[in-house]
Amino acid sequence: MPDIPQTRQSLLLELGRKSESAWVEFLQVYEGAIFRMCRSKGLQDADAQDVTQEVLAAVHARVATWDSDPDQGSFRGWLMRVARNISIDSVTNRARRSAGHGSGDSRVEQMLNEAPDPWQEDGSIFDLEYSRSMFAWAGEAVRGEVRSTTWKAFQLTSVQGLSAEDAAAQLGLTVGSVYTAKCRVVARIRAKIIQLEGGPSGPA
Amino acid sequence: MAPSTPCFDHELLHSYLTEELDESHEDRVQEHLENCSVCRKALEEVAGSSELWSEVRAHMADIPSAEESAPDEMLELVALLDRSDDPHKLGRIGSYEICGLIGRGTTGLVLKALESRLNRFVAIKLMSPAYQVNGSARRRFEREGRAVAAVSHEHVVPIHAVDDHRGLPYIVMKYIPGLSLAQRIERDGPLDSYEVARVGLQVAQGLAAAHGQGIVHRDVKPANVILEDTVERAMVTDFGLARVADEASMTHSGTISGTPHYMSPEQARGDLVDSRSDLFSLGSLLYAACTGRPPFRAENVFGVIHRVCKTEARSIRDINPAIDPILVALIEKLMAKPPQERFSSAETVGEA
Repeated sequence: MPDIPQTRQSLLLELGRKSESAWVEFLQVYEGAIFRMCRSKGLQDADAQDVTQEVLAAVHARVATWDSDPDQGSFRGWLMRVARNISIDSVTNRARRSAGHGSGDSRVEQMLNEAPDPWQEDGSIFDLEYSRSMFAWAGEAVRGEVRSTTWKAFQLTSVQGLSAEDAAAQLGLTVGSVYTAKCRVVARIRAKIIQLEGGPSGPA
Repeated sequence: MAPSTPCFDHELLHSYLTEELDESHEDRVQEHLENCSVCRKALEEVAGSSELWSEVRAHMADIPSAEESAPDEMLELVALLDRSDDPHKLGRIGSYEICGLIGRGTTGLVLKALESRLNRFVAIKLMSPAYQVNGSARRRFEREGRAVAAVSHEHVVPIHAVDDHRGLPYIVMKYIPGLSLAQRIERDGPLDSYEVARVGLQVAQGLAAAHGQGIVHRDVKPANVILEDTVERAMVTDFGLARVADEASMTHSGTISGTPHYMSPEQARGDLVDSRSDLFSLGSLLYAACTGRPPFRAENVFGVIHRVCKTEARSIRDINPAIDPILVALIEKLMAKPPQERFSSAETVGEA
């Protein structure tokens, strides 16, 4: 994932303490999602990095409007909705432009224009990338919180699809503790995601 | 039991997942899960919806697995050492020729070395680079080391010297061939009552000698008790270093290192501790010797600390019925949460 430390720093400096941790988590999840969406829309690496920065800056510009509206719900939830819209709009526009004059070939542009509902289609690309980013982020966080055998038991069963019996034999654990391990990891992942998406903040 | 109704209710399973149950309930649920498929299913549902489980599977498949390429320990170690003239040695620290790596703890490496001047083996504890200290911390470390060096007792590992190597403090100790109590428990499982009593008595005597000189150990745990090979003797090591090491690392990273499994509640809370804190840790150590596992366990440091402070450990005889009730009562007294309910000194433990 490309790093954009300068953007991150300046954005963080401007944000108040209340939303700071929400914003850090937001960046951790969103940077990757936006970047991969750009790539899957055919943008080159450098362009994808540009767009990612633009989107994050545009989202940040909107953050200032947050406090003024009491109907917006939680900061996190609002941030996610705003970011989703801006991401889809910007990436789609940029992909269209670059297809238009980058290649001089209008076939790509035509294809983009012919899609039945480009916004909806890009929405689902974005949602897929977002989910992948979110689970990667939540998984990484949870992995740091549990014992390594707990994580392995979870990964062998819930991700790689081994039976609890096989995983138990491989790790030298009892079947009951494999169930315990995988359920505890999933419960923690769920708590992280709820927190990220605007549930009550603080330790889950 | 009806096949479709879980034997535990939703709320209890939720507490089990979030590790809020005390040890005996926790163990009961886990044992039950060995055989009850209804409860396994119920636990999965409490953890997350079936959509969540399938999303986990779909989205996490390409995340690299837990096995990261471990850095080569030996190369790392050799890079820390000066070059030795002897090709059979790994390297040199001061005048000590390093022969090998005995162990690796949270605070540093334990090395076996030859002190050629006296032609004897020594053990060197070299603090890890995270503990690289400034001048004043180093002087404190040396002062502390000298104080411990002044304790001479048959159940305390003698310290020969304290010095630093490229800014990393190290302690030169007598080399004791043998396993630590932690290694022994891991290899053979729980000890019998007689052995536990013997180890307990000897560790208590070693602690009493240090307490008599105003030194609190602060990190009494099975890994810090060495069982000498040839004679049946337990020796305590690493006196007082926990605090110096922690202070050094706090200034570095702002976090506390090490395992809290054997900490007393007052120590876990960060309160001032005295010699009675070591007695609680001694109790936890003996608990582990009786049962094969530490009294308070959880997934992470904060979970352990919570249990140390707030919950009672599962009864020893529940886990190992062969342990003598008199010994159990002694350990329970050592592990009383309020310091004043423990023995008044390590000496009185020895007498009891």
